[in-house]
Amino acid sequence: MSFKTFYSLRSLLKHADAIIERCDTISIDLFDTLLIRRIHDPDMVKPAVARFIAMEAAALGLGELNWEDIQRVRDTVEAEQRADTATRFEDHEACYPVFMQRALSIIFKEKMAPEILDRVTDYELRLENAMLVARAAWFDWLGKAKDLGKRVLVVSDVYLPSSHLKRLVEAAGLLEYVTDVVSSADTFLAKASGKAYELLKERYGLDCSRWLHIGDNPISDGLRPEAMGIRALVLKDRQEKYRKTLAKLYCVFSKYRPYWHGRLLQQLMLPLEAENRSRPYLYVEGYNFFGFLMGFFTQGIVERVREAGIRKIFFFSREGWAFKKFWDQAAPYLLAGTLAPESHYLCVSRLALAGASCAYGGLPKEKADIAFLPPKNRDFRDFCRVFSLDIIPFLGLMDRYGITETLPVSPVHSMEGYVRFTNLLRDEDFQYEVKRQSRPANDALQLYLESVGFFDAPDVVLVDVGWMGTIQRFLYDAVAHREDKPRFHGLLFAASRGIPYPAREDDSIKGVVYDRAENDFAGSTMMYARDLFEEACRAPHPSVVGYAPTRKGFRIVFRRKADAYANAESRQDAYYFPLREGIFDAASRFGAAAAILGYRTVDLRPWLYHQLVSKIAFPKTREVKAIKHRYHMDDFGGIHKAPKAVLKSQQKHLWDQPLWVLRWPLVRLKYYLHKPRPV
Amino acid sequence: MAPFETDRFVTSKRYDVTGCDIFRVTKHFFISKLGPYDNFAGGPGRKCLVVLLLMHVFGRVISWSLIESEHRVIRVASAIQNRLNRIRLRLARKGP
Repeated sequence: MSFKTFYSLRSLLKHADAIIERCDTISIDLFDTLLIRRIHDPDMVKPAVARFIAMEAAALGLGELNWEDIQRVRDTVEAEQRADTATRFEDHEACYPVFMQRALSIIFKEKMAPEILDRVTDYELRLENAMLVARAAWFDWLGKAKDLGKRVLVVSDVYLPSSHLKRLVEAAGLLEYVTDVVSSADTFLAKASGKAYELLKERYGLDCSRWLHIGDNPISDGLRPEAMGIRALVLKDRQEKYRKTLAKLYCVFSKYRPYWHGRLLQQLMLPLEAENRSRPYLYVEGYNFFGFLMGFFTQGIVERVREAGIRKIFFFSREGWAFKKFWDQAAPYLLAGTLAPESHYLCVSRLALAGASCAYGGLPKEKADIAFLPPKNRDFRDFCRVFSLDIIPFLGLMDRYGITETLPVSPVHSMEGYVRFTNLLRDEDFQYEVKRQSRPANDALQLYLESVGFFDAPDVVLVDVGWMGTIQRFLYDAVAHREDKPRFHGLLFAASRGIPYPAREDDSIKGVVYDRAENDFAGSTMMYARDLFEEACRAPHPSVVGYAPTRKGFRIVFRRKADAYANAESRQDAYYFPLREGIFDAASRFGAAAAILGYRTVDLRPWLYHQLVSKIAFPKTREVKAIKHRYHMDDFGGIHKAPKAVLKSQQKHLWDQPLWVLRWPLVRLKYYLHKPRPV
Repeated sequence: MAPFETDRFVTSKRYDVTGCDIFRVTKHFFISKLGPYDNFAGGPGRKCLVVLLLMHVFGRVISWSLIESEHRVIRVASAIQNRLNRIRLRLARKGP
């Protein structure tokens, strides 16, 4: 009898179906047969684990260790164990818990503790799990074998003991079909020498003539079982060969050309086998485009957290909802457990904070001007709405400066009215009244911030989608009087800096994907479609409009759920549901792939720019048609008509154009090269 | 049915990223030659692009036709490689 080779899993299983009646026991190789890896080389997991160990060591105060040195220690200890095994056994096998314990003892010295090994093992298995995918065709076949009462053994020559392998098989959803999992790491008897088959025969009292073995290695899964009279089928899958060759090519090219780093990461993120099922158009865009962008942003946050040793992150509502959800899934791969900061979702908004921020500092001109950034805000009523002020107590003061309720005071609408308005701002009585009215909201805000532990850490990262950092500016003003206020590290998805941010020593903002201060030509294409990103990330709950004191403490006031804004938002949410699903499905795969490759944002930026330019500056017409949001509500702006001159000067950008314009040749190139970006 | 309503796969049959495939990369490579354009840290590189384009498009056929004689192909390829290396060494020793 000689072993048979098959070039596709389908043909192998068809043959196995035909002979299954003649077998009582089926043993199957685990890696590259039952499970496939997204990576072409299994050793790619090891550097990620070494980086994790370096992070753990840093957290324990051992300083910044080089991960390559840690990798060298692991390799040396593993090689020593294999050499030692070879003196007693035919196979040169190693056992992960043994050599890893020894390696960690060398690295951590007197700080070594048993839980470190547990943490490292958990991390390595989590990464392995993320890189492994069960081949879809096995599920049906194994179910059939189980129904027929066959004994199914999973056998592997690997350094992970069977207890660890069981976790991998379980995560792949195959454990219920399997009688036992056997690893060469437990006994140092491997398939490579054929000793594993002897062990199985003895342990389970197997009859070789009624035993079928399936694997991918012609020697250990073909020749060795065949020599013992076991029926053997060897899988040399063409499809897999093709997939792995591609993954390897991207890996090789990315070493020479930084452009391919991001593309390689996306290759490792790709869903395979049963994961890759038919999806709606928006899901695919969410996964392949928005997912990568959000991953890049998450990587940027991780880097800031590590650099500054920050222990708390606050995600601003409502776009922060999506960022936090993404973070929660991706960050466990990118940060060691001991370094992972606490993450919170903070219920804030421009509208809610604008009023509360005036309680101590009043309303300086720079801040009051923010109310008139939207050209639809025209008069003093709009100003009061933005800063949550009651207009009645101001009427006497307004009269003093010749301002009426309906007089345009926005500089966009009337310069004369604006001059009167700025004179009013200088009035002490006016400032006193502003502070008086803002105080209750500020007190409620302080209580809310205390309840989420905002003042417990010396440094906090504040995450928001963008664009000018207004929420952070208002938040800083609201807590500026407190001595225990933390240092603010604001990270924006993109910073347009439409108005200059008053950066201070303890308060800064930085755009991660795009920052206007850094003059990124390609990155600036993001400004074409800001609303698109806002809508893609927006939380499916109403916006916060204020904070109110109550007897028990405070209450966060949300916008009513039944108004026109809410209806439009819920329709938009329904439209973007598959897009968001795609984004969140990409989160853990991004985290795992980024951990494996160890890339920083600087490595991923060329591909990010390519993605931005190709999708935002050079989109296909049908992409604009599908991806562009249907509704976008801005509760900061009023209901007045903007002056004609302003409307004329407001430039239309590519994504604002009707679809027929997008069909013109070279229209994209024209916008990309010649039109200034909106701010 | 409008094109945006149709169902798609995240991973294409060519193991490419749907919506940002190798053809789109190639298109932008050519656009970048037309005028001032971000060079994306050196860009994809002509050789890399050609190899990847060929692999994505014809890789399936290549792996289909070669896998059964893979060991022979590798043997022949490594023999050619060795011979080329030897020639290169000899030329290097001779000098210009």
